[in-house]
Amino acid sequence: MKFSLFYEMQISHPTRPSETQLFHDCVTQVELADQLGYHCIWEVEHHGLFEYSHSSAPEVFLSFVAARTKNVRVGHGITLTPHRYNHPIRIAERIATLDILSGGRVNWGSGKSSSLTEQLAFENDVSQLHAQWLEALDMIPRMWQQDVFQYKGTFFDVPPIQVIPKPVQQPHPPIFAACSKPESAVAVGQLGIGALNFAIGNDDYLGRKVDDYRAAVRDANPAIYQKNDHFACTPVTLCLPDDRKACRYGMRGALFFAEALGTYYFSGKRPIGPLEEINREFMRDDDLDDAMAFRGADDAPAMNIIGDPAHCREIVSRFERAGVDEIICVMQTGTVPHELVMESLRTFGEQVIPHFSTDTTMERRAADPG
Amino acid sequence: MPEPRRVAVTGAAGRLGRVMLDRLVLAPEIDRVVALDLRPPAASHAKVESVIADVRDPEVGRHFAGCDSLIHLAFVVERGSRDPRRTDSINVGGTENALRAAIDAGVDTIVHASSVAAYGFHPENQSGPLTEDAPIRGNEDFYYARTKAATDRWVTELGAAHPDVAVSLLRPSIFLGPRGNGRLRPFHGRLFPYVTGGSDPPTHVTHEDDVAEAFYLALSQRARGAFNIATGDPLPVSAWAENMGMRPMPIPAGALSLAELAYRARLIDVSPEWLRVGRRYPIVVSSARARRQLRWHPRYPTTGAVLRALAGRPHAAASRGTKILFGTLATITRVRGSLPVDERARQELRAFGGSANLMFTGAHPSEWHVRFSGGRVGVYRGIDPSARSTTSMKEEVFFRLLDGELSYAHANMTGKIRHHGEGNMSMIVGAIVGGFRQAASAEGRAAAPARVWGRLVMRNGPERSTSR
Repeated sequence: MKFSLFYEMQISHPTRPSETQLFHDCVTQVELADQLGYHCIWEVEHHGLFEYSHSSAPEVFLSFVAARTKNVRVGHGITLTPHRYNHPIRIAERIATLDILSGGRVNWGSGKSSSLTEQLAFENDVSQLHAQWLEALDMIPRMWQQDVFQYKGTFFDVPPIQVIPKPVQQPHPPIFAACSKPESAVAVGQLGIGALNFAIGNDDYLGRKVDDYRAAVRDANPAIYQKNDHFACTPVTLCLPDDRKACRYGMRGALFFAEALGTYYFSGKRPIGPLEEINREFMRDDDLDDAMAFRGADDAPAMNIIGDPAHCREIVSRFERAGVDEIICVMQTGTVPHELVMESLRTFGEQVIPHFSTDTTMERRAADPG
Repeated sequence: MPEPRRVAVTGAAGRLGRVMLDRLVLAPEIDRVVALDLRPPAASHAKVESVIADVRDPEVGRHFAGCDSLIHLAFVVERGSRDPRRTDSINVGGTENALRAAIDAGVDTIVHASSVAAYGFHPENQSGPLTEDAPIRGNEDFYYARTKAATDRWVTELGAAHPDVAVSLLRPSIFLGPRGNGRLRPFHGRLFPYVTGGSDPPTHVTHEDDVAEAFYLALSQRARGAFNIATGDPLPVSAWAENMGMRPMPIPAGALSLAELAYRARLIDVSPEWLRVGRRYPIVVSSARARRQLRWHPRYPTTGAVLRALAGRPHAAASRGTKILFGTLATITRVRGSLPVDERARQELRAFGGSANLMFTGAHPSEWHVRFSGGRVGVYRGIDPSARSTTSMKEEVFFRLLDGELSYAHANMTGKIRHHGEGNMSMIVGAIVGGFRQAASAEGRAAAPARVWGRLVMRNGPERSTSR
């Protein structure tokens, strides 16, 4: 099992100064994570999702992070590949540059965006996003490997060009894609790339999803890039020595995360201004009692890793039993103070991660030539 | 124990004022209420100091000395067209004068009584419930809506200009109740009169106690900004009679001109504009912001519940709401073969197959399953052993979710909802709830089941199924 961090760059009721502080705090957190041996910093790309995600230029943040760290990998989780967001050539160039400067530490996830806010802001034809994602996925690995790139597809007709520079990881940085529904996990498996699973479900359901993905990826035979058999989940995480304190802050953060996400993704709206109907308050004591007790219930879904180290280890082992390769902890949520994220990084890094073995995968080998 | 509060209330002898005073004296942190009105007070209480005062009085501020809060209710509601100049001087001039005086006197909290009428009766309102950010444009031809809108805008600006004062605007719907509103008396007869020939728009009725509670919550939390205060599930006036166990007595629209004459002859005291409200466009609002931010949980959550309570008729379905709701859906499914959904919903539902079980626990347990197949959806009695998921919860939890008081994520995290089986099928409950609350505006494929459910639940909810 690998342990990574996931950054939406959330902030509840931002002001200009608090937004600035958020970015500097995240860098401080990532520096600590590097020292503690976390595997990868995954950074999202979202546009205009006020409060939910202020990470609109992940390539800038990740370059900065790469310069400030030694070992931790830097991952795009994910780059929006439809070309109204990012032209495929620009993506290939940026990823290769980051790969050189970071010393081969890049993980590259791709996706198409599913919130109306960003889809419409960039004037996308929503019905074409899936096809545009697939075409970019077909183009970018070629650009990394071919001295002269030339392409004729549905959306692009690129005359011969030398896309430079080339990445240092061979044959290229490991490729991932976002998925949440079981069908899309299978689809990602069929493409032969790593799965970044952003959904929740109970253990059986998750286990079956992983199995279906594995079956699909086993039979996949991608022609233009290297297969990446890897399944990652993104639970909200807060690990503190005091179980109740962890839950008080962690559950509040998880609610903010879930409800802000729901507002942008499931309400059918494009909210402007501070999100309404979002839980920013602590749970009432009796609800908190229920939520804490429910973590251990047989039918509780493996969703949030919140509590003291013992509770966190228990939940992590459920992900492990389901066959998950990587847990990408969402520690930074809109309502969790920076100091607690730091304490959680340390507690989780020192008292949870060492209890699980970190196996070798293709991605590691790719990162470590020789 | 927080600092004792001193609250001034204008319009204290009015309909809401009387109920407001009863609520304020119950609050332990409030040690004094200064009750201002042109008329003598309806009742007395040790905490209440009543003063005969006029909100137009340039010196009105002397009554606010030592008060830290103001609840401003003084407003001409019913006889406004009799003397338009006086109406404007009280409603607009009086509001500005009283609120400025209160700020000069150093209050830190102001709760202003606006109204849903401030939005105005407009054709655009038909596209869905209005939230607090909807434009304020009371109709020029109805003094009440016009003056409520004018003061609403003015008070909003006042709040922006005085960030140190917590200024909130509450926009209640029509409210009724035994204490404040004498107009309930005709409701105790066997016939309920209403004017026919209009559009018969859905109309919110909120209980006076719940409105007073909202004002108290805004005061005690020092809330800021606007809040709609209205029940869910507004009913057309033509449907009120049944909820009150009365027979509807339609009055032809032509009779309105008689009312006009009677008003002019001072035989009746309600401006005929009010009778014409039933012929205007609807004002249907969402009170989600008050529920969430003020934690306003009305004791009578729907218009039907208010009317039944006033008529002394408890809700027959109150204790077995899910049985009624899902029983109705199951009956429709049995009779028609599936639930009615429109073509667009059918297209969206094509992607879903299989069934999901729903179990309600509690005093009246019931079990159902929802089956999706080829764009059709139906509700069936009992558990389907081959279902892709089973979701169980207490009946009460289901209604709290529908009410918006409890969020789906919260219920999930605290174990109030239990899922077995496939995660995405069990999400159907989230879809039902989300759909109920957002049916009007949802877009996109992910929201398809929510939309469909929303339409179904809204059309066949427990209120309607027992009242029709």
